Amino acid sequence: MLVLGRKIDESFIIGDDIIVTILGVEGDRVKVGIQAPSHIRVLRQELYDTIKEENLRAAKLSAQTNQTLLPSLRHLFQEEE
Amino acid sequence: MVQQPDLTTILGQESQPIEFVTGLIGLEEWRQFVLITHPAGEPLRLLQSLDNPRLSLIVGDPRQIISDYQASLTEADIQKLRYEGDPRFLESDEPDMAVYCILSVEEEPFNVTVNLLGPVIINWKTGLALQIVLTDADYSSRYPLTSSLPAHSSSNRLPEKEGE
Repeated sequence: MLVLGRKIDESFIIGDDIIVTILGVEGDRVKVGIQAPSHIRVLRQELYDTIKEENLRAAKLSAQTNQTLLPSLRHLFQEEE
Repeated sequence: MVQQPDLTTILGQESQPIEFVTGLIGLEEWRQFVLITHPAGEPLRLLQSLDNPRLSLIVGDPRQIISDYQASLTEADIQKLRYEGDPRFLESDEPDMAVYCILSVEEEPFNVTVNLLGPVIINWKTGLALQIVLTDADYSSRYPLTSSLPAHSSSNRLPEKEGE
């Protein structure tokens, strides 16, 4: 892993068009600003992992599920009274 | 193993093609989808990959579960979807914008959850879609839909496709 030391308001560039700037440090929290083209997804790692895991799980389960179950599932999909 | 029926013949109506700008998270390889609707399955739909026939996801509008469901778009999301309306499109009930959440359905034991944290947003006007992650909302990625309900009954199954 590349390790860079940066001060507040200093930046580094990834590729040609992603700029990461250190905006501030408070205790053990670092505030980072990211400028990236709109097709680049920027997400907190733990959220990304959660959604990825759930997408893969849903896709795997769906491939195993008989889709004729849909009408029985529909009844689950309504707001509780 | 029983051959699965062809989804499109069973599940009728296909939407216009949808392109996921950045892909579904973890499934970035597949970008082109259609939404398949059948009256017997409403309000649930199938998000079917056009590139991979084995990839289909069961989805539903989260507002069916939580009537005040919130999902707002960032500036970057708006650009990706080439959307020109109100960022709080759920509140303004924008007709061109749709929101769907993905269901995970375990059959044995029967357990169904819905991912409220990572909704899919579709701009029907441009045919562009995006899975967003709600960073400021307290939604679960496994919101349970089956709690005390008994397993599905076979009488609720979709009727066999009628002869053509």
